[in-house]
Amino acid sequence: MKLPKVMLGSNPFHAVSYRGTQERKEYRRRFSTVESIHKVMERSAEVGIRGFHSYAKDMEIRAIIKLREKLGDSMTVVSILPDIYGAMSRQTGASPQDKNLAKIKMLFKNMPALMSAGVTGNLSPMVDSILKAEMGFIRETRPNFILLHGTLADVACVTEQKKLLLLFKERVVEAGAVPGLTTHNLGTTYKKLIEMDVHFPVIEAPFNPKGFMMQPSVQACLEVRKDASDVHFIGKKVLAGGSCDPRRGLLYAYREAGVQCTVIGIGSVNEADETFGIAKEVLGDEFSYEYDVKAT
Amino acid sequence: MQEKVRIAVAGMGEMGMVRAVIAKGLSQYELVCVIDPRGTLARLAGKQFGVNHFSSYAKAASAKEFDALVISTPLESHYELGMQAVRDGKHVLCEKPLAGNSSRAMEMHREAQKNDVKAQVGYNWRFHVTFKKAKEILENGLLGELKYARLMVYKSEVTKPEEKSEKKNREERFGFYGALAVHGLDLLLWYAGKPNSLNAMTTRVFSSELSDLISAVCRFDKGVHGVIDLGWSHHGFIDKDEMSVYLTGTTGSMNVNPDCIEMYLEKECPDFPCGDSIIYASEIPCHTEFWFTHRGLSHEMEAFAHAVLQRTSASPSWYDGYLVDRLVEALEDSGRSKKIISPVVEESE
Repeated sequence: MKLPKVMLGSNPFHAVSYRGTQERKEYRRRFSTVESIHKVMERSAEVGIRGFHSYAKDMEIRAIIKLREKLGDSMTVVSILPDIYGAMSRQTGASPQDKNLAKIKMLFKNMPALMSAGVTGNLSPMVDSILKAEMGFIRETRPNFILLHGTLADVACVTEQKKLLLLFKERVVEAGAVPGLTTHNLGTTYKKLIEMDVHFPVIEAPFNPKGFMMQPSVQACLEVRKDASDVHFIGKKVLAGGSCDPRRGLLYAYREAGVQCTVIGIGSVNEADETFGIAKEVLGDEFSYEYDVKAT
Repeated sequence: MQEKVRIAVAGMGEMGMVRAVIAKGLSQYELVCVIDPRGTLARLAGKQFGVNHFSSYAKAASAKEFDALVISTPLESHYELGMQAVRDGKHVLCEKPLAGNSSRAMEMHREAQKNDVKAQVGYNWRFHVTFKKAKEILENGLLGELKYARLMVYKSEVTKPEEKSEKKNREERFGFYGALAVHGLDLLLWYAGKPNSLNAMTTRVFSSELSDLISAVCRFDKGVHGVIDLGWSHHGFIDKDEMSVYLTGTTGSMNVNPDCIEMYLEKECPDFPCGDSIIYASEIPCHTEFWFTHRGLSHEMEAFAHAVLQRTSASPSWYDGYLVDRLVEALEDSGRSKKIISPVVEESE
């Protein structure tokens, strides 16, 4: 599978911002339709972006499908699974906003599986059923890479859930994609992966000049990056949640941290022009480079 | 010297699970067992965490060696479990609110003191980067002498009539205070000091036992003038709770929320210019061995481990927990009686 050097992230599309409530509200207003998301994706594609991240959220998925119609196999889709509350609301019919109700309904719906897991200690059947449902939900986007959501990946690593991590890998490979994980604790989780002897060919983790979310320390993350030569790293939070300018963030990620790829969330067409324009300047010919990544 | 805190977590609801995950992620802890009266849940959690599970604290305490207990059970059991654990010589991190009743909270504090154990209450927002940085700014005197503090906590959690069972469930959990407001009140007390007097107006929009909208003016120690503005029946706060503290001193002001600190200083200081400036959470160095959720929970648990292992003070202490419980009572009393409450706090540490 081809993993592009620079990719479009999706945080603004689901109103995630580290710049305060006003920006979150603005993103929510701005990205309230499939068309508005598609517009930013399309502009990013026009300036040469071929990698697109997507959470398993309905509007993002529909925008990606629309883009696929135009770009076909020349684009790479990186899906993050599962969107926990989205999965709950799909399973239970509760509104994604009503998290408490969705949680309660989810618990009732899965009570037999939970009770069986309580007796046997084996969560796999329940997780497998959720994974299968979520894979079905994103199937039409034809994902090339499927990454395990950071919160779940972190929990699975520190609690040493080797079986669940392997199950995730297996299901992703069966779906014809390359498995990976995202993490907010690279230094800690990577150590656990080594201890468990679990390998993921792709790991997405924060790398930025401010050290934002580089846990447990900047140094530890850089060491992992250096030592893990069999892993393709995608740098996220490259602009430190909007705290540093794109040139500085990109130079740090590619030149100092040495990640192969980056993913950047973009909030508007103009921002796509500006940020990816800078990426082109920083990377030169490398901008359109794609890594060939195998599933194992 | 002891290297790890051997810890048990009581209550395998959402918070208990989070606490257990963080304990697994931090090398200062060895998670020894989990406790929950719901057998299936306890067994499942025990197996997932690879530790023993028990249906009660008493069984865990008699069977297992642990130094510290996290109480993540519903509020009504905090007092009983907390008292028992400190009498057994366990260090305790108890979720907020401490007891939901100031007399009981004070008893818990006294008992912990008597048994010489570390007793911390889960006011984790103190460990969030922006609120922690604001405390440093205040202590370094950048605002001069503090004169005014305003707390605002808004949520959209109860914006329509609820079913009887849901209402009962919420009120047993201390209503809006238990949901988020106590965190804000703790921050306010942390910055402004003990409250001396207050005059509150309260409104029950949908709840029957506790208020949904609370406003008060108060006077704190050292003459700081304060305003409290709390409500969970506001509309439109759908993605993130609105919690902010505005502080004014003799040489500057700042508005602190989970995303950033907005400052205005009359004079230039080492890290801040004269006039307006803003510092975002993402710009403040903040490292932990295992980061889990944005609310400062990992740092809070690191601080508790530090207090236990290094024998330093646990903070926020159970006395701080008492102060918040007392402040809530005073707000409700004043709102109900339409009278000024003074003094608010009669018990010293």
